[in-house]
Amino acid sequence: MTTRTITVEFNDKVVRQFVLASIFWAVVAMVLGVLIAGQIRFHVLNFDTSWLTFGRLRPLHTNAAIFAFVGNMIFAGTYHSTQRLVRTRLASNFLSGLHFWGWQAIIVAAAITLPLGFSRSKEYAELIWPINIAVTVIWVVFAVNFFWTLAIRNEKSLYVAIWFYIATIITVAMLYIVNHLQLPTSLLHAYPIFGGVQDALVQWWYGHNAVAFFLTTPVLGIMYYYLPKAAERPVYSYRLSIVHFWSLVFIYIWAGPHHLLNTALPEWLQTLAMIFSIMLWAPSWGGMLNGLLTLRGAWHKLRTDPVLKFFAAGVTFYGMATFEGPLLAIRSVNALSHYTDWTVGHVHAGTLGWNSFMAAGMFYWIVPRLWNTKLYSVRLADLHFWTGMVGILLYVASMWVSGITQGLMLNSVTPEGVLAYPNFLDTVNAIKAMWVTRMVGGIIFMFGFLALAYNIARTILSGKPVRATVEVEIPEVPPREGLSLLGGFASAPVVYSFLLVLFGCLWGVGHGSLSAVAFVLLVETFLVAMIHMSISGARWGEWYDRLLESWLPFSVLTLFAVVAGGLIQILPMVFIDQTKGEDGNWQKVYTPLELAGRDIYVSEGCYNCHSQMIRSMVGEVLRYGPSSRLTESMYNFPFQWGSKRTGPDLARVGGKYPNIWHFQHMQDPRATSIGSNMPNYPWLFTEKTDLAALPNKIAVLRRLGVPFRELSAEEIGRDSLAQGQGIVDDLKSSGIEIAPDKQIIAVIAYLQQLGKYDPKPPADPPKENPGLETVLEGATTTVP
Amino acid sequence: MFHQVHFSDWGGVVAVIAFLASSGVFLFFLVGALRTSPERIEREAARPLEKETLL
Repeated sequence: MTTRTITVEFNDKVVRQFVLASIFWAVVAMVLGVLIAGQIRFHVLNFDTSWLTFGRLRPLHTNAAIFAFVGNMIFAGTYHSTQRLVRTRLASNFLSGLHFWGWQAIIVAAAITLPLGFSRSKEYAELIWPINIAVTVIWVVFAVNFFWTLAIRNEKSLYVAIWFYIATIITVAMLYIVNHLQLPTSLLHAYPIFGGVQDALVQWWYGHNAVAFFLTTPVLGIMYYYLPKAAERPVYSYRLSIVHFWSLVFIYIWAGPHHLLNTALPEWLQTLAMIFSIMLWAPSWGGMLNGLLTLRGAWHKLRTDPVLKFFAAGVTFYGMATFEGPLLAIRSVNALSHYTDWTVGHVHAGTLGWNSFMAAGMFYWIVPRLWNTKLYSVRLADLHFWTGMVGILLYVASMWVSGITQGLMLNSVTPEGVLAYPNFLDTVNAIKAMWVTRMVGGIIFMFGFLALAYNIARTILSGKPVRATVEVEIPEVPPREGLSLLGGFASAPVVYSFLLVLFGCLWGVGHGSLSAVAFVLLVETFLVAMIHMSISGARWGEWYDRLLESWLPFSVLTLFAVVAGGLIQILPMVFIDQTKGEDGNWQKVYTPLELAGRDIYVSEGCYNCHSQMIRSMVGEVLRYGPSSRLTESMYNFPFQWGSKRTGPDLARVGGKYPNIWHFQHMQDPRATSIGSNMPNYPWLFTEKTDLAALPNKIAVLRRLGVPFRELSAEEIGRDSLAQGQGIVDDLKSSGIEIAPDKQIIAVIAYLQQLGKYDPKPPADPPKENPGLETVLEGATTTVP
Repeated sequence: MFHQVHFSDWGGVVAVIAFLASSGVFLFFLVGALRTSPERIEREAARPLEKETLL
């Protein structure tokens, strides 16, 4: 075969851009993190200003940390390492530039809209629908640029890092699109197409796997490239990386519902999620060990090389966080930890310890090479390492103490069968010192990162952008891909695996003779497969090698591996008959004013501190009332079950307090609840409720199956003002004067409705929703 | 709470097919890991160590 030698010049301009953007947004995310940590302890830091309030800034902090800081970092690492691993330049300069500037524009749009209160209220998915479309377009740009680069590569074999990048691109696209399916009501507002339990399930399928496939798999790819590079050692075990990759992508996707343990979610889903979460220990630690053992023979370099120092600590934090995660997914542990700061500590062990340290290691390694210079100061990098380490430990340890303390107090019941701490604020006051400790930890960590920013800036100023090239020998006739798409599936190992699982399932779920026949076939297939493997095993191995030289079949097989968990968990819930087995507590359809109040509640980010889900635990039932049922939130688009209780659950708060209490509480929470750390909401008393938007909103909700009465726009307005006037009249008896169209009135209407249910389902559903008709048909047989 | 869930026919069928397909793929890759040749293992493990030139 004749070959020719060409020189490939890599596109490192876009890599440099992403590195700088990542560092900039990291600082923004950390400043926001410190501010909201302070707001939790010192409510005055909310400054009585809407766009500076915790409920609006917390989503900005999480989005900035995940999508701006880590997002830009993984794009930099992916583009830099992929070009070198496939020995070719990125396919398109234009797409690379579009990817970079498009992503930054999205971040800026998020930074503007979230503080202004434009939020979907789904965690890490708060951005509004026009931005969602932009994210999808830019992600497709990334995918096209990446896969196009693979298609024109000059290195046949796809290295393990690229497998992780492929899994990231495919899975994030799938998760993002499904969790952002929505119907717009205006340019800046939409309702998700899923409601209640379906929305909860889809959200946490997405939310958990955003951690898995945005914060983990791409960073593992980065680990598999940069760690061996920095250590100047080959990967410890290539075999382990194969097992690690496939088991991780297959198992991770199932674990999402562990965010909903002990809730109204069906028990089979909770058990499934718990089992898969525990199974995750194995692949996660497989990856961690592969990373750490790659350092064998190079441990002494940790004393002097800050890059390896950060990588070793980052991978260790990955191991610790992925040990803690499955632990928290055990239902009995989760009963204590969920809705508390323990979860917050857990995610920060991951983001600060794993993501931030891996990012720092990569930046310290990559920047001197991209600007052809030396790192400005190793001592400053060491200082960053130790301040970062102290900051993380203070943060995580304080959150452990805080979470366990609050969890124990909230669940504590006396021998007489009453709550030991009936006042929620007792538990808040008990952990305020831990909130200060957390803030101090965050500040220390932030200063460490500022040292990185300074160090990197001085490094860049001492060098200049460099063009990196590689000499590549390529054949005159380009080689074909190792396998066709069809060839990816038509292989003996795949067929045998498929048959084994098929017969296994039939044996397990079949009855009588079907089960017996399936068992015989299972054993027979296993024996035949073993004999076949002993004869043709070498060819099977070759076939697998060829698969690793074929990006398209590899990507499709990856999609199969990740798609299963979502389908199996979500599809049954989409087609669920929520009426079966229910004996009452049908959610009341909101009045127009209550709906407006709910949208304000969503917009203000109240879900960041208040849940609406009473779990089936003694302490919760004693504190909040009977445990929540699926039918109680079936018309909630989006669901509001929450994930953290800085304040109490609100599922049954309606009618618990008079209107005047809510009025005063929103004006100044300390006036009604001594020691409360909730912000004041003065703007709710001056700004008007957007009643004009209600007709469109109600029309969209009717299309989604919520049985609203048919009302004209005038009737909606009149109805809202009439209900508002009732609240206003009630407040007047307490000496309060306010107009019925103010936001606080809508919020009170909504809060007073929470926990009030109909004993039977509504009788007149909209005809255009066949799904709801099914619901109601089922109800007639089960509701007396 | 299991009684609350009722599969629609086709939803259940799609779910089972997806489970089988993905499990099959997963098991297959375990076979792949076990059958990878030593030469490939050595070559792939050292891939990050390849050098480049700076202009």
